[in-house]
Amino acid sequence: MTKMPKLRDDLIVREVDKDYVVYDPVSDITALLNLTAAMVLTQCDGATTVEEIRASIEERFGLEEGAVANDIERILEEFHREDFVS
Amino acid sequence: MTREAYFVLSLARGDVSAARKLLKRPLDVEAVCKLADRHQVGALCWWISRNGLGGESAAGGMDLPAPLERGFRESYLHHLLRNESLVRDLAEVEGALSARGITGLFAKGPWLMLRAYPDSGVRPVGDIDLVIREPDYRGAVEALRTIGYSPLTRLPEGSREALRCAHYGGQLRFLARGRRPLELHFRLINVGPPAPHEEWVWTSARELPVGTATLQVPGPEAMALHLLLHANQHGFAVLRLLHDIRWMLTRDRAALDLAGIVSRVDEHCLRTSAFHGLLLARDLAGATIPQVLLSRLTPALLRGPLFRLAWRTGAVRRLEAPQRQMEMESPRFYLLEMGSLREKIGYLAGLVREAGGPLGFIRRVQKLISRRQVRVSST
Repeated sequence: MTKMPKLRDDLIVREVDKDYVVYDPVSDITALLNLTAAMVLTQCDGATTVEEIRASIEERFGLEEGAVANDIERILEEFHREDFVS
Repeated sequence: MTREAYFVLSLARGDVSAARKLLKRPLDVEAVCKLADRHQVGALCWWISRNGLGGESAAGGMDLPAPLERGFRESYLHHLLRNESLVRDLAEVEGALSARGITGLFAKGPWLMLRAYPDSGVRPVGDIDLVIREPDYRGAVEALRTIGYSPLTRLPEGSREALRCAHYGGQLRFLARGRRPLELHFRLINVGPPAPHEEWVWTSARELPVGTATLQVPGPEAMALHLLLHANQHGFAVLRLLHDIRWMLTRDRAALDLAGIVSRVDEHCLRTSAFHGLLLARDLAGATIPQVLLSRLTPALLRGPLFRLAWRTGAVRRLEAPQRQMEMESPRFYLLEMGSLREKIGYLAGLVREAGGPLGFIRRVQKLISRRQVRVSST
């Protein structure tokens, strides 16, 4: 998996009334994200490492180190599968 | 009419108290979602349930059963973001045309989405309908190519052939990865044979700022005629098309020249169609129709019942009218409702010629009939 995942430029990611939504104009599909997935996706800027993404989420929720590592990996796998990130 | 159909009708047109009453007994939620989706009003239903009709009425919103709320909300979010993506596409298309000195007219979708409906997420827009003048044909095709659009089928060489193809053959459709499909037109009134010119549509066009661009869009009378035609072209089988008329009338009420509309309707021999389109928009979508307009468009004695028979308006009113191929409905519409007898014969001859002769025409009709019912693209 990429060390510094990058969100595709043409995707539209928005927070609408507490819903996190991503629209893919290629597949014409809209997906609703949970908060963790949204935090991961918005940090996929091609400059932030997976480790840094994990650390920022753990810090935000006051979790111990490594607590969400598996979740982050699963979310990123899903984003790769959906072609949201490269 | 089923209770589910009545619920969709009531909620979409803002009759929240009727919708509330219907919820007192269990509804088939799946059927409601399917019906709202088929009629492209799920997002509108969500918005009305949340906001009521805002400034138009004192009525507020309503609580929906959770699965219904979720289904409608997802539809709203999808169209909200998809339309944001469309704005990007529109600006790029306009930019590519401008770079070649071409002015395009963007048909109903962008204006309805951004100006007529109460929120850009409630009006689904599937395709970009772009009207150009014939001399700009080659330039427009090249402009579209520069931003990644390719024609879906082989394009006619010259503008005369392209005009003929657009009116007697099939639409000139373009696709680009990650962008909304685009259809090229030469007349806003694209039913039947092409009018020799349509300057009034161009001179009455108005500007619509969209993202970084400013689009030319039809003026009030052209928009009204366009929407009335469009609803009939689809056999009134999609409720959203009647809501388009409703929200257009709401937005443009002060700007509409009613005498001008009547005159354009008569010019195109569309009195019966326009009258019934307005009636259906009033009864099914809650449109406020100026009485003077209905009075002046009242069709001749026999035309009304024949129209209702031909277009099965009883089924339309129950939300049960089947969705058919527009390639079939559009010629049927022209041959039944528009033009003189001589013009109809000329149009039929044009259809046969474009299909490569009588056998080709028969094969084309058979092919269209055998296709399954289709969704109406939400342009």
